[in-house]
Parts: sequence; structure tokens; C-alpha cells
Amino acid sequence: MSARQLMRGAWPVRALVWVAALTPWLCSALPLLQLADGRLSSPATGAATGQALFWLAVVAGDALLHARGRASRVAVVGALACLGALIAADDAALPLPTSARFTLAAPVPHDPDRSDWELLARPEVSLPAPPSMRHWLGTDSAGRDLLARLLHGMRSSLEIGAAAAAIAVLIGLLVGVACGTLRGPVDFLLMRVVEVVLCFPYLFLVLVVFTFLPRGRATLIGLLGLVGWTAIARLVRGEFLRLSEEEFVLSSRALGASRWRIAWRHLLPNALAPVWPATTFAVASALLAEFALSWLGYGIPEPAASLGTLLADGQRQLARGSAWLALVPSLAMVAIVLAFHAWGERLREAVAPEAAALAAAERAR
Amino acid sequence: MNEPLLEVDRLRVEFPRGGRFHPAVTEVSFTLTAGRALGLVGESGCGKSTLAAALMQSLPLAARVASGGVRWCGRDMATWSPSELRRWRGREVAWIEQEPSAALDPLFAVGDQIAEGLIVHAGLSRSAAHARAVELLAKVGLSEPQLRARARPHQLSLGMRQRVGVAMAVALAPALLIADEPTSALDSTLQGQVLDLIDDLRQESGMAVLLISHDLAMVAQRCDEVAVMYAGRLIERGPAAPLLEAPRHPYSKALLAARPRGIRLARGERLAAIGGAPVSLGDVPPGCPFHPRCAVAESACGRVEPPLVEMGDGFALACPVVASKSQAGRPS
Amino acid sequence: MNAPLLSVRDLVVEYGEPGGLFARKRMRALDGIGFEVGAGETLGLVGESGCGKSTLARALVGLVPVVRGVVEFEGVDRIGACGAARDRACRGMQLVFQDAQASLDPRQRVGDAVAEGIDIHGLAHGRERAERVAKLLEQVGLPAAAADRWPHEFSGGQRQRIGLARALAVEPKLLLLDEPVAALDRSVQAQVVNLLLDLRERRRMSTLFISHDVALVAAVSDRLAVMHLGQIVEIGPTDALLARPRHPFTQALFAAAEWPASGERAALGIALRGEPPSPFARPTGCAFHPRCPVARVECRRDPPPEREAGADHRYRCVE
Repeated sequence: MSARQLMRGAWPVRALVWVAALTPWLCSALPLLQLADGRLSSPATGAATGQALFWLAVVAGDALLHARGRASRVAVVGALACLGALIAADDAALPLPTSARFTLAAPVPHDPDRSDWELLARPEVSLPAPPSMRHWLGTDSAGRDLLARLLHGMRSSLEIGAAAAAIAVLIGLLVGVACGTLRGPVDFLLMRVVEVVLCFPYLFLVLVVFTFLPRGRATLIGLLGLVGWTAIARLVRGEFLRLSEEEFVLSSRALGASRWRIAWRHLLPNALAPVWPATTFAVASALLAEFALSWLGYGIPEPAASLGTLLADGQRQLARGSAWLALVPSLAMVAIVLAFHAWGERLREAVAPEAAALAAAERAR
Repeated sequence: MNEPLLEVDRLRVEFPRGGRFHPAVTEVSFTLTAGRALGLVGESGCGKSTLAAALMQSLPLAARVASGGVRWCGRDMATWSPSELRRWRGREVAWIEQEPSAALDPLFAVGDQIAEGLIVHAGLSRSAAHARAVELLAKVGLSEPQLRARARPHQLSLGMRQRVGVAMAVALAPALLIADEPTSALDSTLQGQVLDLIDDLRQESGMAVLLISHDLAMVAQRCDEVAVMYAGRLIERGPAAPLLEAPRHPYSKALLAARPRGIRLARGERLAAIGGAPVSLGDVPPGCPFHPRCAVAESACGRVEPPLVEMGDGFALACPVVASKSQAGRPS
Repeated sequence: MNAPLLSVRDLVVEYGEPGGLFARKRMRALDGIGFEVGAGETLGLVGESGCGKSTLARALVGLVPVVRGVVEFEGVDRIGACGAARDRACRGMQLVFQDAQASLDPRQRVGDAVAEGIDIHGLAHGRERAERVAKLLEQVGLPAAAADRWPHEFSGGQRQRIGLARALAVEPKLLLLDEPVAALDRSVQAQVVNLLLDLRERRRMSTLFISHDVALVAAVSDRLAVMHLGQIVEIGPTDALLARPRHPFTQALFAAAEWPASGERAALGIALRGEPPSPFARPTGCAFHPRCPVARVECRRDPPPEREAGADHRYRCVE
């Protein structure tokens, strides 16, 4: 399966990824460009953290995959590399010079983590502030811009979801391959482990984990990854068992191939096909789980935002009639999950045996 | 000779592929009268199953009949209404596909399944239909038909299921039976039994049979007349026995010769193979479609597509090279 | 005949019926198979579907577990062998599958598929490997450029050629052909059979040619073995069998093969009624007796004795 085939139907997810990667420039209290003291600088770029570098690498990969022609590839990757170099080279955020002669502000010129003191200073304003020209989606109860928090929250939710899904897929692949290749007692034991993980009361596990470990991103990712791998493991194991009966595997065995060679050369490449759609669904379910955990109060700690913490925050304001605070992150969550599901469905169509058979019949005719 | 039952007149069926329509069946004409059996022979992809689907008026939606048509008892079927077609499919014609037993629903007793068609289409009462179903099962050679009628398909063996499938197809005494590779999924020991059964039914009820297969020798032994198809065209048609004895078209000849018949090859001896591969839809060579694989092809074969020409002795042949030779060889 | 290349004695293979965990019914797929294949010889194996032909081929190369029996290849028992001896036997005997579509990995390029045996046994590397692949492809009538393409780009006949090249890569002495042309069009079958004959003669290979197509097997085999429900019921030189088949089942198979011209079909006498019995409910005595036109009372009770009908021609029947 070529990378391009896998990316078919991925455009909603790709759009999300690009938005997340460009968030430090889309929304920042610091100007994108400023001319001060005779020096042109980009404070917003300087303030971006190491995570931004990771995101840039991701979109660079995406651009490489999709750009047509060598020149456009070189251009896109060059631009992203320059941006990355600036982040890496620039010192910590500079104090805002008051005497800037020219500034270009970000589209959403607010810091997601700081209250808008100018707004708070106005006597007629009551928090949370409703949408206005200054704050397109309004502010939360602490006077922070909701759009800025939404964009940053989406980004950290995506990070958590993708990292958790990566852990889940990795463990799932390892366990599935081990079961499908070694069979016998190893298979038996690991499958019992899968059943235990599946049957373990989820909320109890959450309570235990957060009793002993600090609330935070790493704990959340680890937790979601450690409960999400069972479906992938079963899938891979099932594919291995099914493919082992295929004639091309028998044919390799008849040639004298060892079982690890067969696993690596024949079973894994063919078993991966259904893993791709499962991975996108794993991201979607990790996102939903993060949403739920944050609502229960086990999300990433303040002031950082994720979609789940935004919902939890908004839910507390529901009684005061500020429904949009809960509605906006919920809609964003629905959109993201739908984007991943849409991709997954397309992938499933692309790798479905019926689809392959149809295509083969078409060729034969 | 009586009125022809089924007339196919210069039928051309096309499939879309890559923005263009490609013919899967090209200018095919033949007639079939009651009680006769016509064999249609060709390799996979030659259009024989498309032709069968066109006869049944059940082509896939993408396909279109570009020209020509099918007449049933002299009436052009293209003008029929859907309900007329449905009634016709139920009562007048029966279709057996690769596995006759595939038509059986695993959830119901086979007797009930046969009876259902009788109730719906022949208007029989429930008890009469059941009695007739048992009769049919006995007719296709099942022992203890009363007992078998109550069995579900999985309780019967493969051979019995095939017989039940045939019984179901002929339950309404159709005027025409279209059998598309009815035995290719079966062992040779069972094949004979199913074909014998079709033979017997034909002799008894006087239905017409269109037997479609890739096996020229088998078809020739079971039919009165044989038509050979290649690349969607009829290339040879003739009475079965003489055609099996001495096929004229180089393709029919090669097809028959490629199959050993009760001999042992000595060391160094080889089967008479046809080179190349069968043509596929959309890349049919110009001129005679068989000429790139043909042993006697002349330069003109690659330019002009030979029409199917009546030879006068019941044969029709689409090969001017062979035709002119046999003409020359015949004392005038 | 001097020492045979392959000698099989009393081979038994059983399958458990899936389903009940405790009441496991065992099904005997092969029941005391014994035969020999000499160097350079072709043994044809015919029988109905489900009689155990494919199981036999798979048991010989170790793809299905064997309950008991001896598979001796070049004097070494393959089932008990281990290490280098087993490796040699593994290389010496290669299986070509019926369905070339299914027996090629859809995600492996043709060149790698052909070279798989070379890689597994470390026969060649780098440039030499590529040269060998090109030569193998050429031997089976494919262009060397085919190595860089994918299996689905080829027609059925071409895929079967690739499957052949794959088996030939390890230079086997015995080729097991399990219905090698059954999935192909008639006009292509003869091409592939001719290729097999060419290779057999050029490489002086022995072959075990398995098919349900009696006429085809008879045409290419020196000797013929007829299988019925996991047993070989008749084995002997092809000419002798064609001239005078002894076992009623052999006679019926030949009669059903439709090689006589129309009208003569009944002349060979036996047209089978009924159908192959299920291996799960094997008839007592002679397994063929429910369908046998000449069965006697004792056929129902006693397994038939083995009889000689001339040099190297044996059958199992009371007649």
C-alpha cells in the first residue's frame, strides 16, 4: 500500500494537523513581525517551544508527501526549516518594546493562558464575556480568549490522542505479532492478559493511577496507551492466524522459511493493511477518552488547555447561561473525531478484501 | 422444423472501461428451437457469461445493448415490461449457474424451496406443490424423496444438492434451460451424473437447453449443435458430432488438440499448445481477433475482421483462410 | 529399478474435526499411503476431490503433521530428519500450488518471490542472486524485467510460471505439482504443461503430477496412481493402466474422463452412481463398495487384499 493511497481521504485530518502546527503563529499575544530599534524580529516565533519543532516536522513530512515536483518540495520544506531554525535559534521571549515602529499582529492576538486585563478593567464587563469583535468566541470565566484556548487545546488534545494511539498500536503490534508467530503457551497467556485488560474496570484503573501518579500529560498518555492496545493486538493476531493458512505462506514454509522470516516478510506486510484504519480509530477513541477524563477532572492541569479541560471549564458555567463555553469545545471534538473516522472509513475501503477483489475482477475483465 | 423459441439477432453488448465502451459480445446471432440443445464454448472472458446474462435480460447496470436484440417466440424482448420479464424468468426459462446448489437457501427444507416456486408461479396449492416437489426429487434421482424433501441443504451431500438445484430450476417445466458451466465445480464422476440428468429432462419434457462451458469435448457430446466463441464473437458453429470429429476453425481445432485424450506422450512429445493468452475486454487485436495466436494466419487476417459465413453443410465459419482451402479441395 | 528418489511407506495423516472440544472426531485423510518415485520418473496421481491428493503433497513437504509413516528422500527419512539433512530434503523436494494467484504474496515483488528460496538457503547474494533470478524467469518463459513487477500484473498462466520459477530456484530433484494447471484456461493449460515437460527433461527432475484430470495426468506420467478416500487403490505403469484398468474405481474414472467420442461413453461399462463417501463416515471393508458395481458381500466386511496384475502393477480389490 503506497503512502499516497493511505493519505486518500485524510484531508480533514491534514487540515487539523496544519492548523495545530501553525497555532503558535495563528494565535499569539506577541506580534508575528515587528520593526523596532531598527531591527526586524518575530517575537511570536521566538516564543514558540520545542513542541512547535515537532509539529513542523510532521507538516514537513505531509508536504513532502503531497507536493508535486521537486521545486515545490524544496520550497515548502525550506520554508518550514527556516521557521524551525528561527525557533531553535531565537532567545526566550523578548520584552515587548514599546517603541515598535511597525508590528504585524497574529490573527488571534491573545495568549491562551493569560487573562485579558484590558477587558477586565472595563467596569461593564461581566465574566465570562460573550463573543465580541475583540474576542470572537468570547472569554472564559477567567477572562482568557476562548478561541486562543480552543486552538491550543485542540493542539494538545491531538498530541495526547496521537501519542496514546502510537503507544497503543506499538504494544498491540508487538503482542499481536508475538501471539501470531509463537502460538502455543505464549499466545494463550498474552490473550488472557488482553482479556484482563479489557475486563478491568476502567474508572477504577483511572482512580488508582491518579492516586499514585501526578496529573499531567505524560500520565494521561501512558494511561490511554496502556488500555487502548487490546483491539489492535487481537486484530493483528487474527490477521496472522488467517494469513498463516494462505497458500503463499504455505509456499514459503515449503521452501524452508523460518517462522520469523515468514512473520516479517509475508505476514506483517499483509497484516498491516487493516491496522491502518484501526490506528485512526484508535486516535479518535483516545481523543474521546481524554475528553471524558478531563471532564472528570483528571485532564492536564491548568493553565494549559485541552478540549477536555475546556469542556470541564465550560460545564461549570452552564448554569450561568454561558452555553457556548461548553458547546464550542464539544463541537470541535465532534469535528475532530469525525475527521479521523472519515479517514478511517476511507482506509478501510482501500484495504478491504472485497474492494481488492472487486478491483481484481475489474482488471480481469 | 418448428418455430424458433429463442432468436438472437446480431447482438452486441458493451461495457464501459476508461471512458469508452468496449464490446464484450459482438454481432452474435443464433436460434434455438424447442427440444434442441446448443452448446456455447469459450474460454474465460470470451463473453459467454455476458451473453447468457443478456439472454436473461439481466445484464449488469453498466452494460448496454448497443445493437441487435433477443426475440422470444418471435417477440422482441427489449419491449417487454418488467412484470412481463419477471413472469418470463419465473415460468419460461431456468438458469443454472456454476453451482446449481448455490441457489439453495441454507435455512429452509429443500422440498419447501422447490414448492415455493410452484406456489408462486404455477398457482398450485401448498399440498399439491409439496407433492410435486417430492415427485421432482424422485425424478432427479434422489432415493427416499419424501425424507429428502424435509432435509435442509447442509444435510444433503454435494451431489444431492446439485440434483436438488437442477430440480428447482426445472420445477416449472421451463421452455429453456440456460446452464452456465453447470459442472465445472464438480468432480468428473459427478459431472456425468448432472449432465445425464439434464439430458434426460430435455428428452422427457422437450425443453431447449443452452449449455455454456469451456470444455468443447464435453459440450459436443451433450448437444445437437455447438457454437464456439472467441473475444465476444461466434467464430464457428456446426452440428455437434461432425464438429467434434473435425473442427474447422483453427481456434476450435487447437482447443480440441490441446487436450490429451487417453494417450500417453512419449519423451520429447508435447501437447499441441496455443501460444499467447486469451484476449481481454478492451484490447482485442484488429482484424481476426485470433490471428496473433493462429497457426495458419495470413497477412490479411490482421486487417479484415472475417464475418461468420454459412458454409452450406450446417457449418458456419469465421475464417476465410480455412474456408477458401476447403472450397479449393472440394470437387466442383 | 535402482534406489528410488522418494519412497513413502504407510503414511497416515489425520485431521480433527473442528467443533466439539471433548468429543473430537478424527478424520483419516491419508490411510497407509505407500509408493515410490524413481529418479527422472513422473508419477501421476489421480482421484476425486477430497480424496487426499493435496493432503498427500502437503504431507510430503511437511506442511501438515503426519501421524505415522516414512517419507524417505534420497535414503533419509524426512519426517525424523533434522538440521542439514532436513534442509537438503527440503530443498530437494518442491511443491507447486494449484492457485498461483493465492500462492504468491501480493506484497512481494516477483523477483523477491522467485529468489525467496535462494535467500532462505543462502545460495547466492547481490549480483549473482539477480542473475539467477533473471535466468530462472527466462527458463519459464518470462522476461527478466518481470522481476521488478507485482504478481497482480500478470495473467494466470504467467503467475503459474512465476510459481514454477520460485520452486526451481532451489534446484529441486523432485517437483510436486498439485493441480498445476487446473486454474488455467484450456488454451493456456497446454502451454504450461509443455513448459513442465521441457523443464522436467532438461533438468532431469522427477515429478509427482497430481490432478483430477485423468486424461492430462495419463498423458504426462510414466506411472499412474489412483487414489480413493485416502488410499491408493491402483498403481502401475501408465500404459498398463490405460490398456487394462483393474480396479472398478479406476475403470469408472477413465469412463468419466470423456475422452471417447460421443456415443461411446457407456462402452467402458461403468458409470458411477452416488458420490464419494465422506472421510468422516468411512465405509467398512472396501471404502469403494457403496458405489461399486461389482461389490460382493465380503467387500462390505473385509478390507480388500492387494493384488499383482503384472510387473509393478498393483491394485486393491477382491476381483
